[in-house]
This record gives sequence, C-alpha cells and structure tokens, in this order.
Amino acid sequence: MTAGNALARSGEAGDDLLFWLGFLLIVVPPAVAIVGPRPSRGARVTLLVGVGFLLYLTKVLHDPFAFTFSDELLHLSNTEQILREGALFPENPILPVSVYYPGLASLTAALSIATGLGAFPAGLIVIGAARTLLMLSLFLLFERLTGSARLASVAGFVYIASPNFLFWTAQFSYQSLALPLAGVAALAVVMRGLERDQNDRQGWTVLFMVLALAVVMTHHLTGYALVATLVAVSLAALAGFGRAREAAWALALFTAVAAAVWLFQVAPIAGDYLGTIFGRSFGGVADTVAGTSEARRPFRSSEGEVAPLWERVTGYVSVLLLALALPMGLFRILRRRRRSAFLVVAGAAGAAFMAILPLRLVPSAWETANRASDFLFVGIGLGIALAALHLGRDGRATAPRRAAAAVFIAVVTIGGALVGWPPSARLSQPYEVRIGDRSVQPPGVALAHWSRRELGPGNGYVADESNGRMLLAYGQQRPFTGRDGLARYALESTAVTPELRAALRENGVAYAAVDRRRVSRDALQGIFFARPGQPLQGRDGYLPPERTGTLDRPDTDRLFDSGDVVVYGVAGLYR
Amino acid sequence: MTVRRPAVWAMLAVLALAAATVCALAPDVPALRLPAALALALWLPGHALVELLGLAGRDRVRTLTLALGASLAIALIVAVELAAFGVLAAETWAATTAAACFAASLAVSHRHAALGPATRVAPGPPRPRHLALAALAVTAVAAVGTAVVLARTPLPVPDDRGYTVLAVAPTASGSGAVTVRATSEEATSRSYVMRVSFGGRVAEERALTLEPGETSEQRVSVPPDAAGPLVVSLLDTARIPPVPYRSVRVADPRRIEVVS
Repeated sequence: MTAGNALARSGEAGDDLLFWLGFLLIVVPPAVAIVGPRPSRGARVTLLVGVGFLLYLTKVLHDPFAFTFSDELLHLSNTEQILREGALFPENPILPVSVYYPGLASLTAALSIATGLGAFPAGLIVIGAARTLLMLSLFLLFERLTGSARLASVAGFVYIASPNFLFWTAQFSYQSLALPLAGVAALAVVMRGLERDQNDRQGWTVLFMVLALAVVMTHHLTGYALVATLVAVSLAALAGFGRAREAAWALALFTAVAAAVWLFQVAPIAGDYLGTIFGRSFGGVADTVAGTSEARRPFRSSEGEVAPLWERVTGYVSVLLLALALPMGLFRILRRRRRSAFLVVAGAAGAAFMAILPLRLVPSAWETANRASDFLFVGIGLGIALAALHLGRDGRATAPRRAAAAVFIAVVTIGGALVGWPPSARLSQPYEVRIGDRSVQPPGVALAHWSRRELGPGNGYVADESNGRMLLAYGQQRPFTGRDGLARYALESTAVTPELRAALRENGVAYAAVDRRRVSRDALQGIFFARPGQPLQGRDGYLPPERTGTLDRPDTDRLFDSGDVVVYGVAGLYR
Repeated sequence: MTVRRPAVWAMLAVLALAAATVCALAPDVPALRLPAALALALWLPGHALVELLGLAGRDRVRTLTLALGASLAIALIVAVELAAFGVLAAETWAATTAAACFAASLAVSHRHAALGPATRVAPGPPRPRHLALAALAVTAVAAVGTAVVLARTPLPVPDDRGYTVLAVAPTASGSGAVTVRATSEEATSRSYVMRVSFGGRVAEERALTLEPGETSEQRVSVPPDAAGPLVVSLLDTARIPPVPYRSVRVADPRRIEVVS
C-alpha cells in the first residue's frame, strides 16, 4: 500500500492496483483464518486487533508528514490553541462546536506536553490507541453477546467493512476517540447485565460512569448515541428480551443528564449545530421524495468526480451481499432473543443501517446516514457473523467455504472502503515533495506561516476550504470558509457591493486569500501540489479571472502573491 | 469473579509516581518521558481503577481493554479539568493522573487487606516457545519501519511545481517603510528584476537572483511625497521582454499598518 501511495504521489500508473493488493493482503488471509474453528482465542484477538491497527497505519502512511484531512486540521488547531494558551474553548470559526467538546484536544495536548512530542505525533498516538481500543472492545462485546470467540472475531472483521473504518474513524477527529470509549462503555453495560453479584455490578457501573463522562466531553453525537443505546436496551429488557437485570435505566439517566448538562452549560451551540444538520437532512428527504430536489447519484462526488466502473460494481455488490446475508443473521438473533437484550438492540441497529441506506441518495441527508453507520454497523457485524457461522454450523472449514469467506470479506471490506472515501483522495497526494534538491511544502503552508509571522495571530480572513484550514491550523488566523455565507459571498462576488463591505466590517475581516485553482474549494485535495501528470493548476483547472479578480482594486492591498494564491488586505473597503 | 494479585497495588503506585516524576523532572530526556507519559495516559490509572473495582480477572484481554479504556478516559478527564482551570502543564497533568492512580492503588491495598490473605493467581498453561513469534514480530516491525521511511521520503515532482512568493509587510508601525520579501521554492536559480513604483512611476529597479530556498528581504522607504499606490513587481527575465511574475501592492503607502 505504501508503494501504491508512492506511485500515486509520483503520478505513476499501477498505484490503485498496489493499494488494493496491499489492502487485500492485510484483510483477507487473517479473515480466512478466523472463519475456521482452529485459531485460539488469543490468536483471534491478535489478528483482529492487528488488522485494525494495520489499517490505521494505512491512514498514517497516507499522510505521514502532517494531518491533512479537512476535520483533522480543525482539531489540530484546537489542540495547538490549548497548548499555546493552556485554556479551553479556543476560537474555531470553521467548526465552532468542536471547541466545546475538548476531550480529544485536551488529551492530545496533555500527551504532547508530557512527552515533549508535537501535536501531530501525539495525535497519532492517541488515535492509534483509540483504534486498538475499538478493536479490543468490539471483540469483547461481540464475545459476551454471542458466547463465542469465533463469532466475535468474525463479527469484528465484518465491522471493518464499515464505510468509515479505513479513513474516517482513523482520522484525528473527536469521533475517532469517542467511538472506542463508547465501545468500552457498552461493554461495561453488557458485563453489568450479566453479573449477579452486586459488588461486581457496582464496579461495572463506576467504570461505565467514568467512560460515559469522557464520551460526553469528547463528542456530542457519540454521547447521544450512547444514551439512545442504553434506553433501547432497557426497553428491550422491559419487553422481555434478554434478562431483566440488563435494564440500564440508571445508566441511561446518568448519561443523559451528563450530556444535557454539558449541552446546556458548556456547549449550547451544539443544539443549533445538530439541529441545522438534522433539519437539513429531514428537509432534504422531504424535497427528494416530493421530487422538488434532485437525488444524489452514488459514487459521484459533489465536485462531479465519478468513480470507475469496477468501484461502482464492487460497492453495489458489497451492499447486496450484506443485504442478502443480514436477514439470516437477524433471524438467528431473534432466536437468541432470550439471551441478551443488547443482542436484540444490535440486531435492530443492523436493520436500521439497511433501512437508512436510501438516505445516501439525498444530498443533504447523505452525511447523516454515513455518520450513523459507525454505530449501526455493530449490528451488521453481529448479524453477518451469526449468518456465516450458521451456514458453517457443522464446524468444517472446507476449502470452498474458506474461499467463499475470503471472497465475501474481500468484497464487503473493499466495498466499504470504496463507499467511504472519494477515489481521488484515497491514495496519497504530494504534500512534502522534492523540487530540485530540496523538500518543499505547498503554497498554502507558506501562506499560513507568512500570515502568522507578518500579520500576527487572530486576524479575520476569508478563504477557500483548503487555504482556510491551513490558515487556522498553522497560521493561527480566524478564517471564514465554506460554500455558504461570508466566504462565498466575498470570494465569488463579481462586484464589491455595500452589503459586502458591511459584512466584512461586521465580521472583522481584514484579509482575503484568493486561490485561483478550483481544487482549492475541495478541503480534501486543495492543500496538495498537483500530482505529476496532472495540470499544474490541479485536476479542475483555474477559475475564470472575473471570479478571482473582484478584490484586486485600488482600495485594497495586495500583500502576498505565490502565483496561484494572492492575499488582499480588504480593510480599505470599509474603513 | 474477583482475582487478587498480591502487591499489584504497590507496583501500580510506584510506577505511577515514577512516571509522574520523570514527566515533571526530566523534560530534556525524551527517551524517559515518552514511555512514562504513555504509561500514564494508556495504562496505569485505568489498571488501578480496574483493580480497585474488582474487574481485573484472569482474562488478560479483558483486563488490557478495560485498563486502556479507563486510562484514556481518566487522562482525558484530568486534561479537560486542568485546561478548564488554565493550569494544564506536564507537571500538573502527570501529577494529577499519578495521584488518581496512587489513590486507587491505596484503596486496592485496603480492599485486599479487608479480604484477608492474598491468593496467588494460578499460573496459566505453559507457553509455547516464542522464538518464531518473536522473529515474526521483528519482521513485521522492520516492514512497518521500511514503509514509514518510504512514505516519509519526499518524492520528486516536475520542476514547474516550484513557486516563488513575493510578500509585503510594514517594517514597523509608523516607520514609513515596508519590507518586501521574495522567497524561492523553485527548482533552480531564477533571475528577476524587482521593480518598485509609486503611483505608476518607477522609483527603483534592481536585478535579483534567487537560489532555491533563498529569501531576499528588502526595505522600501516610502517618500513623504509619494502619490498613489506602492507596487513591487518581480519581472521574469527569462522572458523577453520581461513580464510581471509576482506583484504586491499597498494602496496607501503613507498609511502602512497591519489590521489585527
């Protein structure tokens, strides 16, 4: 995979082939091994954790110089600000809600100052530990729910096919840390439900409370998902599924109160943030159903990039395989409904994953469906594992069965990775390159460093998605970005209107970074050099001059010019 | 079932104190700080809590998972609380985390004392020889190390990916001068003409050659009678006639300031 990434950065052919070959080598042989009955429990855990961690390394080696994913730069900025100022709730104009869930940033900052490492390596360690914890907790959770290490390891492998596993939950972002902590909290709930001894139940309760508090401080949605899970388990226990002592009303209440206190006392902005996202999702669904809004076309990015045919076919087949196998697994879960209320809830989560797949066709609801998969795929893992082990219930791991398992795992894991990340961002892009005899970083990095050094920190900026993130993370500026709102208004206007002057003044915007490359609007790809073989200006070419020249006026200053990126001092527009 | 390991509490307490001491007192010894801080963030406090709650069992996978999860949670909560009071530092974080671990360890010792004499955990089944596994592990680490080195090796891109930055900034507030910096990230040496003009009238032209990685810094004084904008351009002399390659401009050079 590293060789594939190197080829991609060099613009050479064969990069995709090597990448997927490496992916299959990591995933398939261990998957085939754990399907059989022979491996010991220790071997199963080792394989599962090993594969999960290797896939995390895949992400690390994708960007070994710095955090480059769009959300990573936002959380890096939060971390750096805590390191500089030693205090919580710094300013983050691109994702304001993130500063009010400071678990990841604070832990990374603490590890950074305690080890002497920078925020980047400290963040890699934190997320690496989180990935390890996710795999361990999933294994134990599945094992307790099914009573079988074999089932647990198979279910864990199926979870790897979750669309967000390869990159999204491996990135330096608050959900990547909150999800594993919630996994251990869920394990504590299951263990508590199994215990008869009051002392042991109390022990699990205390452990749960510590973990739940950490989740609440780290990520809003994961905290709410934990509450929803506990309520669902308690309702299931009340309805006669599993054991009555599995009911976790007190834990649900504790988590709900903690999440509510945090929401209202610390992060009231989260209500608006999530309300906007869900409101847009529901509105989008209604519009799409009514036919007033165009449906989203799968495997086509918002920038119009269409995935190759083989990727589309594999993606559809992977979903089809899961959809075909899941009902059998859900049937097995129903037959075991007396065993565990949590198991029933997990089955319902698997069914819910399938039920909300159509949301991926709604442009404004796609992201909601995608994020939900991190939680709901736990049910897919359990369901598919139960189905697979039922099909092979005589315990014989024959060659055809192993081959079928290998093909199944290969298709669903590749399908998940394909669905989860755009093709052109899947392999490495040139970040630190050799030009002549020197290592050089992209102009956006130079812009960020220049801004911090020459302008000082905290200046109001309007910028595109990629330069804005660099200005925030490395330039310590206060950038406004986004496809809506002030940044778009300022950067895409063809005339300087009184309204624009007023908006710039009201928001304290003193500078505008104008990048004439269209790709700079893409937060995932705009920060990189163009790959060798691509045009100098990137895959999408330049914006027309009338879209980039509006601010080039006698009453603005032109302070920075790197060719593609120009910084204007715009305070003269409203002074 | 609760499994009691003799002296585990003492081991945890001593390790926690040692780790905190290293983090706080050995800031210049990264080889010691890294493992100490990792132990405080990923293992010690969680393990102490798990022991205290009686959740550590014979199942090492479970104990490891709970210790890792609880440690991350405790280290995180401590970091958030310290940052909330504006006192997050290596010493405070390490000391607080170690104190939590120490307190839990003491509580474990009391718990053990209340339960009576310690019982040794029965030894597990004999382990197979691990030479093959060790060899595999070394091979895996070497492979990962090679991958990291390869991934972190900057690869060449075409020379035209190089760029030159021209930027202008006030020298000092009210100094009546600006600093113009030209930085080359090009592949080869490039020659330019730097042209300075006020209000469209050329005030100065000078040849400028930038080597790769070189920054040229020039102070441009603004004459009191300067009229019109200050424009500084780099003209590319590789073209005939030379064409503007980079350009910066200050609209009102008599009022040069940075707006923050």
